[in-house]
Amino acid sequence: MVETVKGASLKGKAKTGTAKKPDVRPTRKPTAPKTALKPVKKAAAPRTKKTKDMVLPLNYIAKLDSKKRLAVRNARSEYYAVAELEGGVILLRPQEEFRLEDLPPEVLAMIDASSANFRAGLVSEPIDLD
Amino acid sequence: MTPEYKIRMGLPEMAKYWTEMNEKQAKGKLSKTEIAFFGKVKKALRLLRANPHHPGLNSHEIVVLSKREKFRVYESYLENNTPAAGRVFWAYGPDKADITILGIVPHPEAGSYGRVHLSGKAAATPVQAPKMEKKTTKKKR
Repeated sequence: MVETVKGASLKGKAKTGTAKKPDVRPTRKPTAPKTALKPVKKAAAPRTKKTKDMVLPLNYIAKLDSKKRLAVRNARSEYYAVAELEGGVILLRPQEEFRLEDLPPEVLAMIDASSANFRAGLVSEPIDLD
Repeated sequence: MTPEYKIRMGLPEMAKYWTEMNEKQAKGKLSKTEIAFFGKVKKALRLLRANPHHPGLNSHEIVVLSKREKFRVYESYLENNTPAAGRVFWAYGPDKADITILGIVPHPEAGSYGRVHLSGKAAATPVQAPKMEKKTTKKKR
């Protein structure tokens, strides 16, 4: 079997008239000769926003202890929301226990007013709870 | 036996609330929900007077409020094992054996206050990695 290469010239071989022996070698994928083909321009990648490289300030390998616990080094939060993703990826997201925005504004105003008086030493008499 | 704290009310609103509720109770003008809520408040304040860190109160410092008010502000629950429980905000002082009630929240708004929130700052603020100490092994001679 003659290996034909797309784009290669066969004119010279036809003139000589010599029959070529069949090629017994295993067929390979046709490779384009560098000289014959022009380099094909790659299709332009779709424009995307430039994103910053992912920063890994802390990167380490943790091993489960005998009770199957992992230690979080340099933990910033006391509580974490744990989620397991596909492929066994475990995602830890620090939690905020309390947000001032969630308090009703009138309660926050009440606390502020009470605190201002409290700092000045102005509070009520002890209440009777009995 | 540990001495009991004196419970004081913050001025002006908490003191006003307390006197109003007591007057209403004396006249029998409290509604059913008010009776139930005021009973919980009284019970919580009794526990607070005896032991501010009673397990049922789940008292804990609110760091955000402490920073805002520039003294330590604590929060206690009026009910146990209830996510939407009413809460009391209080502080130690002004005297040594005093506790001042700064505010009472009947119950948090559904789906907002009771929930624990995730911080959005986590991804934005990188943290310096802690320096690992090298293990030094003493050579035996």
